[in-house]
Amino acid sequence: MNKPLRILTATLFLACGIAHADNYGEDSGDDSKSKSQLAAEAAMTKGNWAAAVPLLEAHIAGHFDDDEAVAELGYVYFRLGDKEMALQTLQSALWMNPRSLEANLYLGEFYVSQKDRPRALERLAALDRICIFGCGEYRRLKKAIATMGAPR
Amino acid sequence: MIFEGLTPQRSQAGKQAPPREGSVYTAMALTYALFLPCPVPAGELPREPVRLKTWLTQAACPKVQGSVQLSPDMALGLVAFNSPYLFGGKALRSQLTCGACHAKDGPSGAAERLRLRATVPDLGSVSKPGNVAAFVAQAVEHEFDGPPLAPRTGRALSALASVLAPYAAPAASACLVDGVSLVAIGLRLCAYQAGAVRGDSDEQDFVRDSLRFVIGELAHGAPPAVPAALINDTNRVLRAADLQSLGCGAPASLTRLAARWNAMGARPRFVVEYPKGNHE
Repeated sequence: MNKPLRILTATLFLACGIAHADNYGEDSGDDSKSKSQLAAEAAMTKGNWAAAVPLLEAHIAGHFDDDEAVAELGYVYFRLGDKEMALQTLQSALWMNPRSLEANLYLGEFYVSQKDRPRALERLAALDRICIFGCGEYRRLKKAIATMGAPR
Repeated sequence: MIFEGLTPQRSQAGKQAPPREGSVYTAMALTYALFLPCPVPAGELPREPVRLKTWLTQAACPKVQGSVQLSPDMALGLVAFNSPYLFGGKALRSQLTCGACHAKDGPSGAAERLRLRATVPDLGSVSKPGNVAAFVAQAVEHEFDGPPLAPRTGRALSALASVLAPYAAPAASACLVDGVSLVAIGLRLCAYQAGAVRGDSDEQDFVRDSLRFVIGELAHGAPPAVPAALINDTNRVLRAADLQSLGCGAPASLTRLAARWNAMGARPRFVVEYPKGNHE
C-alpha cells in the first residue's frame, strides 16, 4: 500500500470509528435507517441520482460497515454514468461483504451494461449460491443477462 | 432494494457525479475488513416468518373423488397471494405478501415493518372482482416500483379474493391451504402449465420462484414442517429448471413431487384442473 493510501486509511479508520461509535446500535434494520440514508433513498426513488451521492456519503461516513449503502452508492454512480467510480465502489462493497445481494446484483448489472457476459455470469452464479431458495436479486440479474442475447 | 431494471423512466442519465477521490471506498473497505468482525451473511438475518395460511370457503373447495379440485386460476391466485414476487422491488426484499396484510387478525411479518402510502383494502368489502386486480396493479407500480402485473395473475387474484374465508374464525366447512398444501398445489399448477398448449413462460417462472420462496420459509420453520430431504429434492428440481430456463421442469417429476408433498400429514389432497366442460 502506498503512503497516501496508508494515511487515508488510518484517518478514515479513526474518523469512521468515532462516528460508528456515535451511531452504534442505531442502524440495525429498516426502521432505524439514518436520516441521510432515508433522504438518499427518497432521492433515488425520484431518480434524482446526483442528489443521492452526498446523502449516501454522509450516511456511510457514520456507518462505514454498511456494505449495502456502499453498494447503493456504487449503483448511483452507475446511473450517473461514472463507470470508474461505479466499478470501484461496487467492488469495495463486494469486498466488504462477498455475500452482499446488492453488491453482486449491481456489479452484475454493471457488467451487463459493459457487455461483459462472463463477469455478469460470475455475479449471477454468486447470487445463485447465496440465495439457496432463490431471490429477487438473482431473478433481476438473470433477466438483465437475458437481454444481452445469446453468447457468440 | 430500491430499483427495478436498468433503465427506468425516471432515470436522469447524463448528470455527472461530483468528482470524488477514487480510492476512498476501497480504503474504507480495507479499514472495515481489518478492524471489524465479519458481518452476518446476507439472507441469514433473523426475521418474522411469513404467514402461509389461507382459508377458502367451502364453495371454493369442491371435493371430487376425495380430492379438492381447484381450477388453475384459483391455484395461480393462491400462489400469487402468498408470493413476494408479485410486488417486486422493495416488497420482495422485505418478503411482503398479500397474505401478510389480508387476514382478520391483523397484519403480520413484513406488513408490520413497512409503511404503505395506500390504505390496505378490506377484501371482504370488495364489490367488484376487478377492483382487486386494479388495486394490486396500483400497489405494484406506485408503492413498490415492481414489474407490471400480468393480466392473468390479476384475474386469478380477483377470483381468489371472492372465495377467501375469514382467517381468525373460519367456518367449520372452510378448507385450509397451508404452506405444505400450497407447495403441492403450486407443483401441480406447474405441471399443468408445462403441459398446456399455450404455456406462458413468465407465468411459469413466477410460480417456480414463488414456490422456492415458500419452500425456503418452510425450511426455516421450527420445527420444520416437512423432512429436509423433500425440501432439498423439490428445490433441486426447481433450481435445475431455472438454470436451464425450463420453466418449472418436467411435468412428470413435478407431479411425483406433488404427491410426496400431499402425503405430508393429514391435509386435503388438492388437484389442479378445470371442471369438465369448462376449459380455458
